[in-house]
Amino acid sequence: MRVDEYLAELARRLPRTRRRRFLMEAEAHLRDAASANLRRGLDADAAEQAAVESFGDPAVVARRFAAVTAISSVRRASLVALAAVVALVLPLYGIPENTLPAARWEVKPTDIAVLQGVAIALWLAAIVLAALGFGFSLARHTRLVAGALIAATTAVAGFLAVGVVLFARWLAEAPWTPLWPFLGLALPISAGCLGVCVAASLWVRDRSRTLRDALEQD
Amino acid sequence: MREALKGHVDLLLLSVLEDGPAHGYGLVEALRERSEGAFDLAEGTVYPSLYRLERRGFVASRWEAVGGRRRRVYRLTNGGRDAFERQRSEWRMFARAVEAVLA
Repeated sequence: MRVDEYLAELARRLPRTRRRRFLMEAEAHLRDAASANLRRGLDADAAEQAAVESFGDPAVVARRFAAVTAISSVRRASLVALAAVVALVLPLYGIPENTLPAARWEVKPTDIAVLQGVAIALWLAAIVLAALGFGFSLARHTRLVAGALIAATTAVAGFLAVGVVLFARWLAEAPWTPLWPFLGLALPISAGCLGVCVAASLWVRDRSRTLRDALEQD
Repeated sequence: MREALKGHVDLLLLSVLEDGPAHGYGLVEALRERSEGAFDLAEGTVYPSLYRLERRGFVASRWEAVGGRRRRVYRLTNGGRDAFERQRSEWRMFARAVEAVLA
């Protein structure tokens, strides 16, 4: 295998994190090794072939590399999920009760108050779970991170579902409430947060598999 | 030998870097020379070890042009020097104990 072919094979197997840097280092390394082999008297093809063989099976190199970068990418993903969950305070706090004088109640219907309580409880649960996930990532327990983030994502999905029911009830009780705080802010922010949490959970689950494979096979 | 080398690569890399900054290929060459050819590891796996050491703050790296080619040059940090001293004395105690048992 020539150096270019080897690098292409390695690039195909490497995770995205730090891939460019590693490929540049690998290329400089392989060209140095091939030059040294040429000086030892090998022909050009054999010099590249020997350099590539000494560098190691691309599958093994890529797996080790993935295991090292997996921990930092798990940490980043869990921090992003935590930030997204904290951002849910915007739909929770601001909309629409506190921003719209027209929507203030004289006596709030009980079921609306209960739904609001449930939404707050789900939000707090999501924050605790996402914070746990970040804590586990600092302690390098990647499988626990995946579990915590999936649980946090479920809480966020619940928050969104309760939010939709809540707003429907709200509109029924107070039809003068404008739609924009819900459709323009609360719904997109909550849905965006859910999307971020789903993506972070899937990413962490994938990375923790990579780590497990690397530990089992090496 | 490759199997036995696992788990000790970090200490060996720190040891080579203690002599001065080096790029990945230079590190592999130095390891091979200093072990008189015994430590013939899969060269590509040195980089994940270097990245791990860098993340732990034991080494720092930057791109430099060496001999007309851009290379990532690694150097030991103060923390890395402390870690190396600590790991080296742990290793020496371990090696002495193994020797004592085998003798």
